[in-house]
Amino acid sequence: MCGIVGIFHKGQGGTRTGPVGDVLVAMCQDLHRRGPDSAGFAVYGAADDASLVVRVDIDRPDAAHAAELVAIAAEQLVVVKDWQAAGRSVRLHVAADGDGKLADWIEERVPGARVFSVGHAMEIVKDVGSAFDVDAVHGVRGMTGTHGIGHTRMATESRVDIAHSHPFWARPFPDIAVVHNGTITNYHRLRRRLEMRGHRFSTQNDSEVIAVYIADRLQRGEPLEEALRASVADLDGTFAYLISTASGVGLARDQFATKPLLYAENDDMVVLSSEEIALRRVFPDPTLVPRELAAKEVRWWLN
Amino acid sequence: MAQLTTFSPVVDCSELTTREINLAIRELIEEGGATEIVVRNPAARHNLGVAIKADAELCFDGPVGWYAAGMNCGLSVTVEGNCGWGVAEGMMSGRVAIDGHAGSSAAASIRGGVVYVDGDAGARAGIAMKGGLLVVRGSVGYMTGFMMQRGMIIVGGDAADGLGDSMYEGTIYIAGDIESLGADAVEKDLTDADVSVLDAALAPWGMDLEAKRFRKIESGRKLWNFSTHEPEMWKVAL
Repeated sequence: MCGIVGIFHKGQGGTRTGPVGDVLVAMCQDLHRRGPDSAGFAVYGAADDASLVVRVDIDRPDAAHAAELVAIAAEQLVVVKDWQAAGRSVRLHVAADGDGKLADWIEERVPGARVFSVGHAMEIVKDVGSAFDVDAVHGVRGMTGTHGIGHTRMATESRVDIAHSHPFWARPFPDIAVVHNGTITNYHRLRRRLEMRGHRFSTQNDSEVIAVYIADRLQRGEPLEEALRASVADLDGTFAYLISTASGVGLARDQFATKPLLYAENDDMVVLSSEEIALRRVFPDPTLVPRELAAKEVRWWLN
Repeated sequence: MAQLTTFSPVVDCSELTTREINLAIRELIEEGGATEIVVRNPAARHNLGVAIKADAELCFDGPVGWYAAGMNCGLSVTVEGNCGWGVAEGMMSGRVAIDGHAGSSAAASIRGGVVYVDGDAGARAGIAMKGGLLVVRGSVGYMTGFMMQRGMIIVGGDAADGLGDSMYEGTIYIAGDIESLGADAVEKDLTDADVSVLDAALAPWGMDLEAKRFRKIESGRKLWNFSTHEPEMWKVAL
């Protein structure tokens, strides 16, 4: 199963913000029975081209010590403005990394460190447990922004840990993340093609390939709409996914309509969820009527 | 759509578990003798109003979630909002009227009764129907009527890919466009008898569509028996 959720505030140039973290946590918790293993969120605030927020998972027993090593390693490449550790994660606020090397740089120097979020506007927070568990450790509910996506995972392949939780960052592209419900059966072929194009993957999880696939196309100048349409033809398997960038959210559903995904829209916002139950508690307004996506349908909302 | 009065007994879902909601409905009918029940604040929760054998009316005053009003016999249900996947699944008889959109697999495997969707229905509407009637005022999704075995589906709007795929028997009537027919689904001539059936089926729902505009889709029956002469057909079907 797995549950996916999203919210997008419409507004000229992304000026309209809201309690994105609070909404995503509440909605994910309502979908908890669709996937109790881990939960995660990508929240987008105002983009700051001069700096990056980086989050790193530390898969080793001496997490506190390793967190310091991560900060020291980062200081050798960029200016570290501040950093904090929470649970197994380290959050770094750094001056913009001009050549996009920071993730590789940190991972090469600190064994067990895995960078799972790099963004000017985006911050991914994810951990094992429920949405409420993740919020208790990392304080997601206080995060405000223009838009965001969330996921509550039932692991059907690959490990239950932070690195294999959603959302997946589209390494190395800042600000692009995906949440996915389903299974990509031609994952290895797609991954090898993308690796041949020079991309590197952080995990063994099939969902990560969607993020890199879309980001690769966006990098080549393709509009999001076309990348989404191409993905419906190129991805084999079952999927309903949300992809987020600094400017908005896109989604797609597979040709067999196997995985549920609803969207509800009014003049101010778009709300996305696997099931209506997650929408109703946060948005009881009866005029906000959700629609189920058709097979092969793609949609996108950009500020 | 609901015609219930302010005197109807009320079940408020807000503070109840799913099991408590369904037990409360059954107790009101079986022990209280209620014939009309209003269910408040369903909030798109799953498995509501299921496995009830009674000649009573049940009204949900908001959206319901997955598998609502499934496995019922004789109950008349109205939903003032959307419903999720598998509404009325396995219903034996009775009526379910949705005042909104339906998710995937509406009326899956029903054996009798009527399911009416005022909006659109998702993928696989009427899958494996074994009797009964599904009426969708709007459009229907991918592979509607898949493996249908008996009964009738009426669609006021359009159908997505694969309409009537691998249906054994039963009939689909559709007023709008068909993106594509499924394996072994064929269009047949609309007869006067069909027009009479459609007029009678559409009238209760106030669907003002001319019966002659509908097209009739039935099984081509080429998949009933394996034929080595038509391997291409089986490749598509399987």
